[in-house]
Amino acid sequence: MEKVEEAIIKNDRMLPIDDTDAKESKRIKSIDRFRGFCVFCMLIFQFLKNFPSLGILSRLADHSLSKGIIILPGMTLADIIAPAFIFAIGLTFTLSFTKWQRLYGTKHAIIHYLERALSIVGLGTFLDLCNKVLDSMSGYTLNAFDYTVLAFTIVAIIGLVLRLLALIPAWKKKLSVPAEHIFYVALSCMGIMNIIITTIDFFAIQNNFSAFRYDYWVTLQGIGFAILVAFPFVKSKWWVKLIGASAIFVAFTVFHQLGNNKAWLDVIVHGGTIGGFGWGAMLIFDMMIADFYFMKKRHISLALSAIFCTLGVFLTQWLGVINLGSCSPTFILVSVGLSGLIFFIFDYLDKYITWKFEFLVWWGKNPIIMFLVEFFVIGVYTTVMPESALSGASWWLAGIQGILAIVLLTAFAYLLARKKKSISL
Amino acid sequence: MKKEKSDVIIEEVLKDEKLEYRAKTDETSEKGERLLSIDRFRGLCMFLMVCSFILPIFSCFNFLAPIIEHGADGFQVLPGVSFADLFAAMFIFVIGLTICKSFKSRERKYGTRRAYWQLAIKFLALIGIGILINGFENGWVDVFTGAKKFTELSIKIQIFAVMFWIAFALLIVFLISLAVKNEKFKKVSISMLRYFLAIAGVLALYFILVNTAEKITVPTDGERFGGWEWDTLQNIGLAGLMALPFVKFDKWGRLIMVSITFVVMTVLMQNGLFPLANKILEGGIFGGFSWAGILLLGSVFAELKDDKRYWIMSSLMLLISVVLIVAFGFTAAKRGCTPVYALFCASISSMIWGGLNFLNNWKPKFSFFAIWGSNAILTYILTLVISMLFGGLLETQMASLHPAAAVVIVLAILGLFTLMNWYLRKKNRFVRI
Repeated sequence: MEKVEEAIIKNDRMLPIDDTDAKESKRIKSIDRFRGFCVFCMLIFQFLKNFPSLGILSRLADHSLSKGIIILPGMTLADIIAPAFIFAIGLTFTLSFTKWQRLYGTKHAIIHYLERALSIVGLGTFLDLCNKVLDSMSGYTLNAFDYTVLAFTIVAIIGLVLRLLALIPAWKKKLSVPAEHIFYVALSCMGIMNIIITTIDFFAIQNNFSAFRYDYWVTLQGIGFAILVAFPFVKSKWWVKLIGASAIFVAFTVFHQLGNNKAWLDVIVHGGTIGGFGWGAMLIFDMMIADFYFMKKRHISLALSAIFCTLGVFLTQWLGVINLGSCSPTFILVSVGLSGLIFFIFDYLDKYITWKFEFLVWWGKNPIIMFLVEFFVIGVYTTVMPESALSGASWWLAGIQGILAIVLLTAFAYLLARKKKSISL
Repeated sequence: MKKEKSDVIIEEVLKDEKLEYRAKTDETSEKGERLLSIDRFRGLCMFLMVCSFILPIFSCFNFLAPIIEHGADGFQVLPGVSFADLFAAMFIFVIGLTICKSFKSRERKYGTRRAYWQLAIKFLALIGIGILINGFENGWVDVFTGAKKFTELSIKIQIFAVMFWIAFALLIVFLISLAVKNEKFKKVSISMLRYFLAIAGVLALYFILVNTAEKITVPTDGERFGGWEWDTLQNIGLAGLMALPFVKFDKWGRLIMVSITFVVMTVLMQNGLFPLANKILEGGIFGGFSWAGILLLGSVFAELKDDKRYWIMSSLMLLISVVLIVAFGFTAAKRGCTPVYALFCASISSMIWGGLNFLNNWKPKFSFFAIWGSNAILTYILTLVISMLFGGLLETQMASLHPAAAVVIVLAILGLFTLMNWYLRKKNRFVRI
């Protein structure tokens, strides 16, 4: 780990993913490009899914084995995108934390990163709540938990409004810090509550598959929870990460393979909180690979990625197919390896190609904003548009909408990157 | 001061010994030190191969069948590949580790054409040894046990059975020449033995080529003029012969040739060739392409030893092979030697050798596997003899032996092999063809 730190101090090549408000020097473009690629795939492919007339393009984001593009036993092309995004987080997690620690001290850095992880879960909770509120208009009855989350959301929005008011120079000193505290604490509380009720969900499912479920868990919650699991290893040496991740992986594998656990895990998106330990192990493995990458041992990182992927495919013989739904052990290993291999394609291309049009870098600089834009703008667009313009659209109409979405979102990402504007948690 | 005649002779002898030692140590590092990792890896392969020959003779070791049985009877590492299926491929990989250095050292001493010739004769002789052992095993053992009369043997087996005794006589002559210490006599006798074995090798190749052609053109007719006699030593020799034209290529050239061969052979194997290749042990001529590929991949990895790309290449090769076999259901089999099997074995071998390279500076006085790896061919031939003796002639007695006696016999055989290899290594004696 000392070597990693030395690498930062000596080269100062790298800044954390979301800390763009700190003094930014050079960034490793391939990481931004890779992250941008993940966000681009998540958003655009998801949008194209609305247009069956686009054929194979509309199947890119499909996770179902009947419709999606199968790349390995049990795994579709769409299944690799979320783990690839986790890999991108793993690449910069240690460096980001180290930088924060150097700037503000260890205690502050720990609080900040725990808060950040919980806030990511909380943000997912908020997005789920939005869906439930929309559903309530078509008959869904909001429950006690929905109202509780709604209350915390209002507090978070108050925090956000205060933070915006703090942009007025006269109020900045007074409002800035309390506004951020209100916002973060509200989101973190939502995150904690979400973790608790999703765990309750898992045990309720064990008693009865059709038991009442709160149903609050999607990608953002999975990412936030994985960060929480991986956090204790953020400053450890590569071999501690390896042992830690292996221990979590083995324990999770045993659990996953016993009894009906696999089927129960499959009910909640990404395996819920229990599956989150698998995602956490994945992130720690990613961080270990990143350690070698920053120690200038890229060949070892690449070889490790290939070995993880091999091991995952190899173990399908005994542990079953690669299954995103339950976060199967084979899925964890293949995801770590395959994400690493995709990243190294970007990294090696960087050596030989001088990019003039950096659109993926722009996409990669603001993943959170792009996520929110996708949720609200594209979400609203697909809700309000008539079916004839979406699933009933001819290929050319669908194509025009797809191109427009790409152009407009890229222009938005470019503007943010150019103005160096960034929203980070 | 005038040198005495005896001094001159001693100097000459020392000079010769130095030259010979250089020629013998193909497995040396840049500094001229013998690479322990090669001996260790070869020793590991030999030890596993010897165990897989000796243990099945005794029924009390049946519980070890998953580890030592080939094909479907053994523990399936991958669909179609058992644990024991890895040993032979690993051994061929080890040959590949030294083949280019061996060629270069011969080329420096004798010139390119002679280097090719020597290695070709060496590999043909290896095929010859294998086929003559087959001649004894499939011919004389049946005759001695009364299972068949000599006239009932196929013409091919009859030829090799007779040739076996001629080769045996030539071996005796060679051993006498060692005792006589007449250099000319020694040279003539070793050349006679070597070329006779090579002729047997050519004959074996002829029969298998004819039979392969027959199987393709008139598959329902069975054996007519060709012969299907084939075994591990023939396979090693054929792999060496097929790899030989490429030893002067640089490592990337060899890699490209292997890649092209593997792609073409995979297409053919997946589209109807495999059932034919699977009929003969190790795939015969068809399998030879992939075995040669393993050998050449060994030579590529030998040159990448200190290169950062070593682990990238081995891990990517492993990934490709496992994905093709497990995820896409490509046919993997030692019998027939499909390219995906070859790729898998080569990548596993490269990883084991890569790991052993980390131990090169660890030099204990008694390095078990390094000792076992110093005289592989001799150990292998003796193992074949023992397995023929115990498993062929004394089959029923050995199978029903008391477990304690079986354990003692196995330990005694392994102990004797260890002792023999240790002694020969200590005396710097390496039996090579």
